[in-house]
Order: sequence, then structure tokens, then C-alpha cells
Amino acid sequence: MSNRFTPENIRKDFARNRVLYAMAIPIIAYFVLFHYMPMYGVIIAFKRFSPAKGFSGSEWVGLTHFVSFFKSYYFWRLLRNTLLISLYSILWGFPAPVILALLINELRRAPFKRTVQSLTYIPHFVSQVVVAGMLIEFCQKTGLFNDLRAFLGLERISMLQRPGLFRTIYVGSEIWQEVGWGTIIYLAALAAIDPQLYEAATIDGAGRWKSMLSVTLPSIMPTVVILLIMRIGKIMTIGHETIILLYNPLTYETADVISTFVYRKGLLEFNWSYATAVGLFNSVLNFGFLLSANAISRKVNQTSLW
Amino acid sequence: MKRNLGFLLVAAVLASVLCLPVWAGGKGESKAAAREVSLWRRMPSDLTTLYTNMAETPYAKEIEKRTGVKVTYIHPTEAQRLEQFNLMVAAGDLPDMIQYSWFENYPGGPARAIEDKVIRPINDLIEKNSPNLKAYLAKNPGTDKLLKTDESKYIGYPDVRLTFTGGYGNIIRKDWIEKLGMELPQTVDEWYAVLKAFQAKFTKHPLTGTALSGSRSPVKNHFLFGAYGIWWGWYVDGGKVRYGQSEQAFRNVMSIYRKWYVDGLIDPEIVTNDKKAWEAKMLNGQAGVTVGWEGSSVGQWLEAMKGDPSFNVEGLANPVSKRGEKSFAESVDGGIGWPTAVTTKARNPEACATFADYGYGEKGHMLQNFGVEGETYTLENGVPKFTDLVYKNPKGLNSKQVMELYLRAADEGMIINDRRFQDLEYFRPQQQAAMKRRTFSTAGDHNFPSVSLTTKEGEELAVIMTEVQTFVEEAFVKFLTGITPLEDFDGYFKKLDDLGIKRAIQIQQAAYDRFVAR
Repeated sequence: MSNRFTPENIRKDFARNRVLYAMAIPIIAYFVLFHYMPMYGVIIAFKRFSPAKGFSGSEWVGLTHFVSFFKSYYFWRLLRNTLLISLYSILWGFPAPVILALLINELRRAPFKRTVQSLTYIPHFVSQVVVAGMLIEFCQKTGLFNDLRAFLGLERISMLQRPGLFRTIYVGSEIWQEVGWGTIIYLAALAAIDPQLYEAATIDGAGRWKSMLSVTLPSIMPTVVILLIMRIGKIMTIGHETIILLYNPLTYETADVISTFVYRKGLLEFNWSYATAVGLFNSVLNFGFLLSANAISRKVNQTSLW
Repeated sequence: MKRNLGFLLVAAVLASVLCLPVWAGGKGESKAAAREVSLWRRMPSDLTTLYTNMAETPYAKEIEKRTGVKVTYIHPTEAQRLEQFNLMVAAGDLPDMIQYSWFENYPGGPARAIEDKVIRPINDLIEKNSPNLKAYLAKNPGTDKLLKTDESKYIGYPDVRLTFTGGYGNIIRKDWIEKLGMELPQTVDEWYAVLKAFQAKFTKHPLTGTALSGSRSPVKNHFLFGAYGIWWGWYVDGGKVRYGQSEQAFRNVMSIYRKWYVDGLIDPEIVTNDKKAWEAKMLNGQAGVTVGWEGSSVGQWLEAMKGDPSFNVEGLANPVSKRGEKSFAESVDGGIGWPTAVTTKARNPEACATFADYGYGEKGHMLQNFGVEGETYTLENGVPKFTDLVYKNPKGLNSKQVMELYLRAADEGMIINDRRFQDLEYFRPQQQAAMKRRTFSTAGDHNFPSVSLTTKEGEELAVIMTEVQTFVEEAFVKFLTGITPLEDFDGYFKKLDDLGIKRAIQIQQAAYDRFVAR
């Protein structure tokens, strides 16, 4: 084990696993092409980028763009909104697929199980634009959600004009869309649990609830933790598409996040350098969160990404 | 052996995948023939359901036949026009010509685009290859001035608009007014009385629109601002550049809007209505007042409601402070529209010029404005009249669609718009009356022209205005809906100062002074 990486061993390994390596090439190529090479472009965060002069020709401006972002009137609001939406979506959205996977796992009839599974992950394939369109329709005074409110004896309100409701609507729709898709990986983990464990538990007198708690949950815990760490690494990343389709000046207060700001700056106002600087700031924060989550998890429950 | 086969298979698949983009890239590189030009422009909005590319339209075929220049049209998706333009520029992947909202949507305007080496000045092309445009500019110094940067560089081929025609503004249910036996409102108080009466008799929330910006937004520009002597956004007052939302009178405007809102006169869903909801509200009587265009709103609504003789809408001028006063109106027209620029990557600038210049000549002028003689129009005593192909299309197309198929006056192009076209397009008595009413205005006196900014000015202004615009839009709806009480207006003006509005006005004033001095 000590001389694992000798040239001899590496050569042997390649010879033995060449098909696996060949299969990995497209993935590696994808990451190199679309994730590593574009990193070079990050330098424009420190430049005044002009397409005519190109990446290398544009003049250096140091941290100007970062400073003007930090000094921006909306900086704290953007940061707060981004973190809060993300936090809520982890708080409510992360456990949802775990719970659903456990529930599906308890289902005994295969056809029913498969139907539930398909139905819950179909929304994943619906375009954001369509989802936003549906939400706008449902949130109108005459829409579905207001019909429900009226049925419960509540007043009809224009839901998309209420800053206080925006996070709920956004996070709710996200859960609806992704919950089924998210269960797939847990169901795979559940399938890998040794049936003998359940037999042993049954012999020891555990019911379904008890075996779920003492067998199922601990068995998928490492998967849950890894996914949670990875989710925390994306805490600053909120897709701008849905938000842009849903927000309006009345809800900017809770809905305007860093990614929508970058979109407006970069894609609508041509301020590529500024947008890149903000994006870079975002990634650095994400990276920081990922590292801390990983470190904490390694200490607390010995499960970590590395 | 089996393992080797697997390896080969994977390698083969991989190789083919990696090669694909190479082949695709190779195709586009073929050198264009001397008379080929590519033009990036939006698809005329009423044609999107009929055609996918303008090259298929009779117009494109006709102009190709006449100029001998083969044009490849490239259209962005309408909803993503700005993003797609931006990506195209950032990637440096430019067509020969681009028709774009350079002044509104290229930060720093076309002068900056020239500096960024996205487009080239066309002084040489006008001088040598565009005799028609050259002659027109010599005779029309006003257009000439608009088409140049401060350094006298021509930015592109203009879409010369008519001076203020009044084709856009307030629209009201005239039949409701008649049923109530009221007069068409002029002053702010009369508007209030009419809205109140509409509310009592016809609908809960008579005034509607969509969102707060854009041409279907009544609470933005086309209602009350003018009555208080200001305007939404940039305007000019006796040589001084002003920003309407930073003027004290904005407070008065908002207090009226607030009163209307509290009384329920304004549709509470105005912030979230989309085009569909807005149109439905106007057509099924849930609302009776809004803003819009004479062609795409009034014309189409009257067309759609032909079966209901009681439905009648008509355009009105903006409210004034005293009866008989000239109204304050935005001269949305009168400029050079969306000029078509020649890019720095143009393969055959001369061919671009030949194609572009055609529309400014005598024959080209008729094609751009009226189409093909004998097909879309006939001349009666020298006056063009559209044929039944346009008005009663055998294929059931509406007149706007036919116009967009055969000529360019109905959307945008490299054209000098002809007033006679306007008369043909807005032929209904309601539309004629509206235009007459609205042109009794000070439009033109307050117009902030398309100025050029230096790179530094452009950047500074962009930084300030991004925040100002977000802030102002938010403040507007908050005052309107009462989230922020009107008493907080002092704080509002203070904040606007902190955001640097004074500096922004200074920049615009300097640019405006340079423009005047051109």
C-alpha cells in the first residue's frame, strides 16, 4: 500500500481498467471544457472587459468591481435574500425527498409504488417557464390558491404582490418540482440495505416504525450527509430563471437575489466584468460554506466528502 | 478480445462526438459571395406565427430581386432579444449588419459600440455607396444630427420616424362615456369624475394595464405626469435635462395616484397582469381605461369586437391641469428608430450599403412604405391606396400581418416613414380622432434626444442608474399601494440624492449640450 503510486502500478492499473478510463474520458473532457477552461475568464473580474480588446487586452482595474458591489445600496439586501431563500429551501426542501423515499420504501405493492414514483418525479422535467406560468395563474386573485383560501373562508389576495409570501411560493414550487427526482438516489441507497438486517430486527421484535428508525435511517445516513454537504456548497446559488419570471417591484424586497442581480448587470447591461466579479464573490462564499460543512461533518459523524 | 472491442467502441463513439462541433463549425466558414449579406434583426411581431424567417416573405424576395443582394436573416427569440444580442457581442460572433435598439439597450449607446469595435462608422459607405441616404441627409439636417456621434461618425442606416403622430396614449371605452352622458375628460379632476362614474356603473376597477414599465403601463408615463409639468424618466425643459422622478412635482403625481388607488379606481393587479390578462380585462368590460397603441390595441380590439356594436374605444390626450391646455406628451417618434449598423466583421460593406441604401431612394421608398404596386397598393391621382389584399385578405390574415409581409413601415427597417402610410394604417375614425387630439400637445419640446456618452461617462451613468431605477420602480409601487406612506417622500428624495441622481443628471446634461452644439 505504501508504494501505491509507483509508475509500474499506475501502468498496470491503466492496462487493467482501460475501458473504465475510456468511459471516464467524456466526463473529464466535459469538466475540462466547460468548468476548468472557462475559469480563465474569471480574470475579467479584475479588468475592464471590452470584447474588442479581448481577455488579455483589456485593462486591469484591480478590485474596483468588488468594491463597487460591496458599497452598492442593495448589497446587504441581496446577500440577505440569497441566504434566506437558500436556508428555507434547505430547511424544508432537503428533508422532503428523504421522507418521501422512506414512505415509498414502505409501500408493498410494486405497481402502486412505481406510479407514485413516476408521478412525483415528472415535475422535474417541466420547464421553469411553464412552472412560473402556472404559479402566476394559481396566485392570481381568481386562481387556484385563492380558491382554496376562499374555501377556507380567507380573503382573496394577489399573492405575487406580497413580499412576505414570495419565499414560501418559491420554495414550495421548488419542492414540488424536485422532490420526486431527489428520491431516486435515496431509493438506490435503500435498495442496497442488507435484508438480513430487517430479519434480525423483526426477530428482535421491532415493528415497521422501529425498523425504519433503527435500520433504514442509519443505513442511508451517509448518503444523506454527503448530499447535505454538497447542498450547502451551493447555498449561494439560486437559479435566476424562476425568480425573474415571478418577481416584480413589489416583491424585490424579498425576491431580488445575487443571481438575478448578476443577470441584470451582465446580460442586460453589458457590465460583464462587474457581473463576473459578483459571480466570483458568490463562488468563493459557496466554497467556504462547502469546506466548513465538510469539516464539521468529519468531526461530528465521521462522514465527509474527503 | 472482448475487452479490446469494448475499448474500440467507446473510443469510436467518443471520437465522433468530439468531431461533431468541428464539422458544424467548418460549414459556416465558407466565404460569402460578393453580393451576400447577413442581417440580424427581430422577426416582425405579427409574423411569428406564420413564418420562421423573414427570407420567406414576399418583401425579402422583392428587395433581393431589385438590389441583387442576397440577404440571410438572423432572428433572435423575441423574449430574449437583449440576452442573445449580448452573447453575440461578447462572443464576437457578428453578422454583417445588426438592427438593434442601440440607444436604449447598448450601454453608452452606439458611440460606445463603435469604440468597442462592434460596429463601424459608415461615413465612407454613405459617401461612396449610399447616394440616396446621402442626398436625404443633405436635405434633412435634423436627421443628420441624430445619426452622428459627437465625433461626426455615422452610426448606421436610420429608421426615420415621423414627428409626433399621437399613435400611442390613453384609451377609453367611449360607449361607456356616451351611456353616462358625460364628456370626454381633459383635466385631472374630470378624469377622476369619469373613473368614479365608470366604477359606479360598470366595473369595480376601471383603470388597468400591465406591469409598471413598457408600453402597456398606464400608471407610468401616459397619465398624470404631464399635468404636473414633469415626465417619467429623462426629458428636457427649456434646455435643462431633468429626471422626472427626482422632481418635487412627483410627490403631487403620487398623491393623486394614491387617492385613485385607495378609491379602487386602479386595478389592484396592475403590477402582475400579463398581456393576456390585460387584454381580456379590456375586452370583457372588467376595465374601461388603459394605454396602448392605435394599431396593435385599438385597431385589433375594434376588429375583435366587430360582433358587439356597443363596444367602442377611442384614444385620448394626456390629462392637463386646465381645460384647453396643450397636453404634455412624449414624442416617442420623430427620431431615427432602431438604426441598422454595419459591423466590424462585415464581409462586404459595399453590398451592405447597396442593400441598405435602396429604401431611401424613390422606388425603394414606395416599396418600404406601401409594398408592390398593383399587388398591395394602387395609385389614385398619385395617392397610394392599399388593395383588398391588405384590407380583406383572402387568406384571412389581418392587415398588420399583410403589411409586415410586404413592406417595412408597419414594423421597422431602413426606411423613411411616410405620413400617407400612417393615414392608411390608422384609417378608422376613432384612430383619426385620437391622433388629432393627441397632437395638440407640447410633444417635441421635451424630448430627450439620443445623445452619445464617452466610455467613462457611460460606465458611471450605468452604475448610478441601475440602482436608481430599481429604487424608483420599487418606490413607485410602494407609494401607490400604500406600503410606504406619502409622508416619507422627503426620505425618498434624500435617498435619490445619496444614490447620485445629481451626478447622473450632470452627465446627461453635458452629453445633451454636446448634442445641441453638433
